[in-house]
Amino acid sequence: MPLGLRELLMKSKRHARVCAAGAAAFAAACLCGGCGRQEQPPAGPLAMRPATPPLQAAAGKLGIAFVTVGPVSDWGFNYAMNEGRLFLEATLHDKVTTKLVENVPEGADVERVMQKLVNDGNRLIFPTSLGYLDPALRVAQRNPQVVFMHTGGYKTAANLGTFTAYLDEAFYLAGIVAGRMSRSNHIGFVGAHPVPPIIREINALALGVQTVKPLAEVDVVWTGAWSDPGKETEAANALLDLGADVLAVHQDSPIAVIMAAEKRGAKSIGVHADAGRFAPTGWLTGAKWEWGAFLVTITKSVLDHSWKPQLLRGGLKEGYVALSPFGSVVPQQLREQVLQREKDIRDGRLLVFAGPIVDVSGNLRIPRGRPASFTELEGMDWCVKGVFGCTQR
Amino acid sequence: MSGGYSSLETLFSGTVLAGTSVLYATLGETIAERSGIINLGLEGVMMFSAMIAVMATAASGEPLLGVLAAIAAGAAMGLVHAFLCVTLVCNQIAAGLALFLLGKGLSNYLGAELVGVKVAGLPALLGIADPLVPLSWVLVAAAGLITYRTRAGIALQAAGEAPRDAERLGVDVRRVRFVAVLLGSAMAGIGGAHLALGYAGSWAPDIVGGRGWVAIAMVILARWNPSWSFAGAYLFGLMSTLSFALQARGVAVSFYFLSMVPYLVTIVALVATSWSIRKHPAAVPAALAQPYQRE
Repeated sequence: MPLGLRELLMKSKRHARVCAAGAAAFAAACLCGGCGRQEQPPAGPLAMRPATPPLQAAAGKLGIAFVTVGPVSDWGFNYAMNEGRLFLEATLHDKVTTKLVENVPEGADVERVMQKLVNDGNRLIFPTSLGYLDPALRVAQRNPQVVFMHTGGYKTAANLGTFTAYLDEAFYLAGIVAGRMSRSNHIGFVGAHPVPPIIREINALALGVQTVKPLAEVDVVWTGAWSDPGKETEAANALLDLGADVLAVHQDSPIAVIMAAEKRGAKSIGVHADAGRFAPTGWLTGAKWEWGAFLVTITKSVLDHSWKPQLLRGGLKEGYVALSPFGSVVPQQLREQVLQREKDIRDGRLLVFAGPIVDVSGNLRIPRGRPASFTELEGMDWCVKGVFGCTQR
Repeated sequence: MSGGYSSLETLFSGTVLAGTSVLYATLGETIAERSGIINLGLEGVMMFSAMIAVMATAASGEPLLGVLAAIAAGAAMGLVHAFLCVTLVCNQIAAGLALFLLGKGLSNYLGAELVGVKVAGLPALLGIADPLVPLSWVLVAAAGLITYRTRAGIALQAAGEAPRDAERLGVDVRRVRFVAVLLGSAMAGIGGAHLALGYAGSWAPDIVGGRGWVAIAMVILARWNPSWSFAGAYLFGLMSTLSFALQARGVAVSFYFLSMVPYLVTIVALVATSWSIRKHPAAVPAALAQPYQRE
């Protein structure tokens, strides 16, 4: 039955209304689904909202807030940062309160979240993702009474400093384990992006491997993403296909690579945190952060007003990084040997990047008789001999 | 760089493993589009079902239950799309994009607790390491047979080609479309389960990484023929495996370029296909994405 013109019009109008209502409900559901878990970002512009009473300040404690780009349950970078926060709170519980906002995207969101944290009375803020640097600089400029400590950045402001630890020494020790445990003398490395900190870790790993297997090679594959488990699995499989029998990794979460290695009977070296539970048979060890000690040092300097904006760096010696517990396959003798090397590094008797160091093309990068300089370490964009695929761009 | 480990066999298995999730999604989308409904929310459907697969497996310890839950999750997302597009006759493009955002938001929100949770991988079945791979082949063959050789298949094609004529000839077009969207979405759900349980072995936010969008393009490459859905999916699998294999073998090409290759090939394939479609326009379901209301 064809409809009359009037009915047809009415029908299409009613239809448009139903669709509009459906779309609105949908949009609301989507917005809500995208929210963070612990902290709902404010819906409107902050200037329009009534000022929140500074709760932490009222209690006489220093309010400290952390912002992470991913979930803290990732057994990776964010997990390690949250462990550090818990350590900080346990250590200085009578002087500080802490809170953490996770899953905040880099961009406009993080600026809003940080301003909200300031309005809530927090006076020390840790923006913990590389891409938070510029938003943090903007919020810092607007709030001179608040101290910001950014992770890994290269710029500072009057009330913004940066801090990071380097995992290279721990990777060097893990390299000794990898070299001893490898039968094929092929060690694979799945990296996120060819940035200096990761290249430095790969070089340290290779130098560690070469102390026990001078001719072993380290093959690197980049995924081009901090977190993409599908690509990480593909990259791991490509390295295993090539004959690697130990895989090391630096992605936001090491799980995908460790599990890909475990599935095919290969050994694995983790990063960020102890993820041995994901590879009960193949886990060797890993490089992990010990942010807790670092955060306590920084917080104490804010509490006694000795804090200054600077680029704080540290490693094994300062206790800011450590070697993850050994897997059950690592023999006792090897453990003792590696722990002895660890002690040598802590005591300053052993330096990972001490000359002579030759790069893949045979150029002498660090001459005999001197250690690598701060600039050489921070900007490392070349790979040591024995590393393949490391810096092709 | 030492060679000798390279073999066609590992390249083949890598291709199949990387392509299986895209294959399920492509096959499912083909069925939906043959009925005349385009589902641009495929990426969101895969994310949601991948998350549900890990959640159900973590809760029950049984990966097969995880797969079944993912199928149900995919079908539930399909139900939303079918309700909007078939029952309410909303704009399919807008509904699909909303479905994508819903799936993405829901899975990242509900999945926050699942990051870093260890789940059991897919068990071997009858000596086959990854039972979802042969299942995908069976489904491709079955979909081809059903579409071209059965009454139901003819009704499916008719709904997507000429819904009004089909209705006059006794086909319940809305029912056919509803079922096709549900089925297609459920298949994308298996794809999500394979990605999470059979491939990456864990849940992570944005785990699907664009595979849902690629699948929509691969439907066009297969020219809406379910039997050809494997071609595009495995082409994508081959390219993504190859990009890492080449990188690991020290090919002196930027890895940024290599990681772009799968998507580049997708675009090239689309261009080539649309050239051929211009010569044979019959390949496109004539009523695709057009709202249909019963008279």
